[in-house]
Amino acid sequence: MPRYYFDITDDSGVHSDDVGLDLPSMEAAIVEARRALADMTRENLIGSNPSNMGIRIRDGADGLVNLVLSVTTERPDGATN
Amino acid sequence: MIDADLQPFLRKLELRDTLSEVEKRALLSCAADEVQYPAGSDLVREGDRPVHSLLVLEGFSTRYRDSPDGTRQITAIHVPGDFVDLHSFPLKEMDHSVGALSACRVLRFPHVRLTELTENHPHLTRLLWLLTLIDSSIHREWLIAASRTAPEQLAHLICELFVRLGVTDLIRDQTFRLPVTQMELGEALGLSAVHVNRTLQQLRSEGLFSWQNQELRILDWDGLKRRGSFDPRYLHLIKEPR
Repeated sequence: MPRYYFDITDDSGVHSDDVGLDLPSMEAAIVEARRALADMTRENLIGSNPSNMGIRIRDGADGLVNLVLSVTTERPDGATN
Repeated sequence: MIDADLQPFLRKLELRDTLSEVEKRALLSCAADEVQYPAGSDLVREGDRPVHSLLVLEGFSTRYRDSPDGTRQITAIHVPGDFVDLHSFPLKEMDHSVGALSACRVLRFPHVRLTELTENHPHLTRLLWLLTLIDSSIHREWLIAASRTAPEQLAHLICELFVRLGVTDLIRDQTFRLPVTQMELGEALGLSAVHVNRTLQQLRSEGLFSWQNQELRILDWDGLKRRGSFDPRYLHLIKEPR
């Protein structure tokens, strides 16, 4: 099985993955990344105000796949924080 | 040599109560044959009606349930010296499976002999009962930890394994073997493997432990305990008459 690396971006910066996971295909890697984004969203939204979260999937063959999630709080006065 | 093999198990009991020589011999005489299981195989499967209970002498195992969507939930990690399948003795039909995380060497205790033992030794009966109660207090603790953040949950699990392996004298130089993958840690914590990876990186960068080639080394025990809000009371490590 090919190995996929998942670099994570959140408000504290970019965290490069040096371990990776062996998965059958890029599609399986995307499913895994979506689950991870769900975990990150749950965790980051509790007690903080994150703006952007993302995962970049790297492998040797297919090029990069980016998953990006942004959360905006729109207030009645137009503020977005 | 079976007596030496059983030391981790006896240490677990003797940390919590006093065992007489007669009781130790009675326990030993219940053991039948030894069986080996390769990593990834099942010791017992959901739906089985075992006629033996299994005590793991060597290796890590897990209690788990398969989900209809193809994933699995790990509900316990067992260390050497754990009587992993004492549950099947009174429960009869397995409602979950027990799998080998690493190669496991297992001692089988026929249920007929356990019936005889528990009828003749009320104190040993209470101690075996205690072991399954500690299994359930660990389940309880995992449920509570599941509502915490991933770093807290993971720190808590590592604290627990460190203490449990210490009980059976399997810690050397603050280091123990942890033969689990990030995927398996995810299945135990209810998290994706990718998030486990990120969480491991975070805890390592905080200088709490290192983890390389399945060797986990504790670098800051007090810091790790704080990070995981770890209080070992639920492991019932007090020696008293039971």
